Amino acid sequence: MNGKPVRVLVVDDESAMRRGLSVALTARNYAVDEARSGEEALVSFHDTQPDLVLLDINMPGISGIEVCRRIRSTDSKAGIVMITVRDTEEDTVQALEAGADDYIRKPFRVGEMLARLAALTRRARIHDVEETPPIVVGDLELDLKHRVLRKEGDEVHLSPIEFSLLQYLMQNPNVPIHHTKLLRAVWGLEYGQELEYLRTYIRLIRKKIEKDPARPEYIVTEPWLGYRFRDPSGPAAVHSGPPKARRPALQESPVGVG
Amino acid sequence: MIRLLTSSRAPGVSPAPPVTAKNLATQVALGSAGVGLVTIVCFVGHLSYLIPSFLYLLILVFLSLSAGYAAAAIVSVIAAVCLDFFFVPPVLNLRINDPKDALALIAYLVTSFVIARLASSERAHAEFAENKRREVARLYVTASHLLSLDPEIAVGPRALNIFREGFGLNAACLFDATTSTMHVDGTPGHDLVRATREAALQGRDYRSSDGWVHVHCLSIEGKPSGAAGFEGRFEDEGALKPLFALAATAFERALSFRNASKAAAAAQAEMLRSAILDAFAHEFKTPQAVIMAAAGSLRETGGLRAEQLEMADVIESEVWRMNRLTTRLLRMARIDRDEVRPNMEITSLDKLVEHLIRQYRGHSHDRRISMKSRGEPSEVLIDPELMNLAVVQLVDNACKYSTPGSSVTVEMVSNDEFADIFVTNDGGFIREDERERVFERFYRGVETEHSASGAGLGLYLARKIVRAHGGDLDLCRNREANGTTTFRIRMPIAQSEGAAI
Repeated sequence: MNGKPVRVLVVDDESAMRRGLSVALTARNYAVDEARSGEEALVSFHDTQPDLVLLDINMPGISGIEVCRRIRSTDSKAGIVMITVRDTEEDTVQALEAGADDYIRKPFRVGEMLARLAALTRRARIHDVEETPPIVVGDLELDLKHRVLRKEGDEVHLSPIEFSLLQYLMQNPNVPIHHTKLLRAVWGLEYGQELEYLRTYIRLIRKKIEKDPARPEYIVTEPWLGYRFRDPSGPAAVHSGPPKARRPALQESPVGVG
Repeated sequence: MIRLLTSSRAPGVSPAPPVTAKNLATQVALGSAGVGLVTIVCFVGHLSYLIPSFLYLLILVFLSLSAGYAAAAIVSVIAAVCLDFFFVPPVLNLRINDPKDALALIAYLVTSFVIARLASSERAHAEFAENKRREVARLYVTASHLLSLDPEIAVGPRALNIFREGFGLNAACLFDATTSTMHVDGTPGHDLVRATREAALQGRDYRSSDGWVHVHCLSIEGKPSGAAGFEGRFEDEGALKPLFALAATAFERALSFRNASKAAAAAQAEMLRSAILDAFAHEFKTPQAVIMAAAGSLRETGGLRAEQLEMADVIESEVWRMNRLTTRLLRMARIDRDEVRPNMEITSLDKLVEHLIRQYRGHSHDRRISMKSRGEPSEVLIDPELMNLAVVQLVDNACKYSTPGSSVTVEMVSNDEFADIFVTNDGGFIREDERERVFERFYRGVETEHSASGAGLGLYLARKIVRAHGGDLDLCRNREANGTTTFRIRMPIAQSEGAAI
């Protein structure tokens, strides 16, 4: 990517939307390809190997979710930002579970969209120059050079975001990390409020690394705070416990994933 | 059997004529004429008394079958007298010399009475059976007509007309207690309508002293649901039972259909609403997104003069405002439709309200919106998006129902037990009897109905949201001395040692 313009594939069935986004992206020196449908997007993705994909979810034919899933089933490290008119948390979770790095609701400010793409690009570039030795904790081995996770020697497939999130947690073992800090570290400085991103991705990672995702051994929830990566062989966790918080008396169920 | 003395008769029904003195005289005269004819023929022909006695018996059988026992009994006495006078020696004399003849005459008289009785009884049984058959046929025809009737109108005059025509009634009426509606068919000559309504209200059946009006209470699953009343001459009141049973069945069927129709219509309306909501979301947000993308791209391409840049900003911010409005409407519509399930997060109420007011100030230039805070800042476990909607609704109302240039105050007060948000304006008066009603769905205040736009959903939904959090929303101060109205959101607070994010 060094020196080369970042290549973006814009997928939307609305031609005016594609045109508007293309003009803004081109003005910021992105190389832009367009696709009108899910089918066209898969062909174009294969041909042009973009660095980033702006993917509309609601399209006739193959939906954006399915396109995302198929891209993630390859070894591509492209950043995927889903775009949708829907605004429920279920839609967001569905998009993230399909492997999207980010999710943006229509309508959005072009400036915000460009900032998110820039954050994704920065993350991709940081990963390109990563040369540190593997991190080994318990039966997990995170190979940073080849961006591969091995569990008891077997390779486990992780999406780019899953990898980055796990990497950050494993690089800071036994330390409770606030959700805002995690979001900013993994997604970018523009983030901090997207708790559902964390919930979804932590759930996905737990499914892959924990023996019993309902009783996690590695990624532990820190109430009111965030998450902590526990090294079973390492020193006991050093943290002062959860802060006192006030909540409505009648509410019993906590929020988030335990 | 139900029968009445009116001109309207069911087709094929020919009830037996009533026995009157005139009828009896005619029947006796006819029978006597027959007896006379037989007597003359047999007397002139010098026949033995055996032949006329058999011929008399034949006349009596016919008379019993066609006229009845009374006429037959009288004629049999006349026949016995004729037999004695013309045929028993000494002839042309009523005297009887031989005791055997007297015995034979007595035997004849007894036989004729018995035959008359048996024949009359047979005739009565045949008539009774015929009447029962007709009654069953009429019930069957009425039931068929009722079943073929559109269930939607099966409690109306059309159904009553089927009863009235089918049984030849003067009038029929039905009081539907579920809708407090009275249906009448025909022209009641008696106090049928009043009697039916009162019977339904008191839950007691009614029969008028002259037997012309009968009212029966109807109930569905044990609950009183109305009354049916019939006016007409009923000779056999036992037949009213199946008639009322039929009316009750028709009524129950109609109500069940009405309830099912209502449920189906509500489900259909809900489906339509969901479809409209989804279409609304997609169809409005897509063009908004295109305009935003185009306006943003204009700025990104560069080379715009300052005023052109300003215009691009205006386009973007106005579409953004439209988007927020659309999103809010959609959220409110969904909250109205679904059960509220808050997605709890630890949230600073002060920050939430501060942010909301900052946004609001940008768009409501003709109201002075201020914020005050007392007590320590409250961190509570709430769904910030939902709570934001509830507070926005209160601020929105406070602005909408106040005069331009006036002030709207949002005050945060918290202690160990509660976090309160007071929203105060110096706007319209809420009548005392409307204090609670303003929170009802689709209710619009009497004073404000024509002065501001709205659907009467805002306060209802805001309360629904707050209550889903375990809090409450009420009108706490109304037209105080300084002319202000205050709504309060009260959230209970509990200290917690921890929970998950």
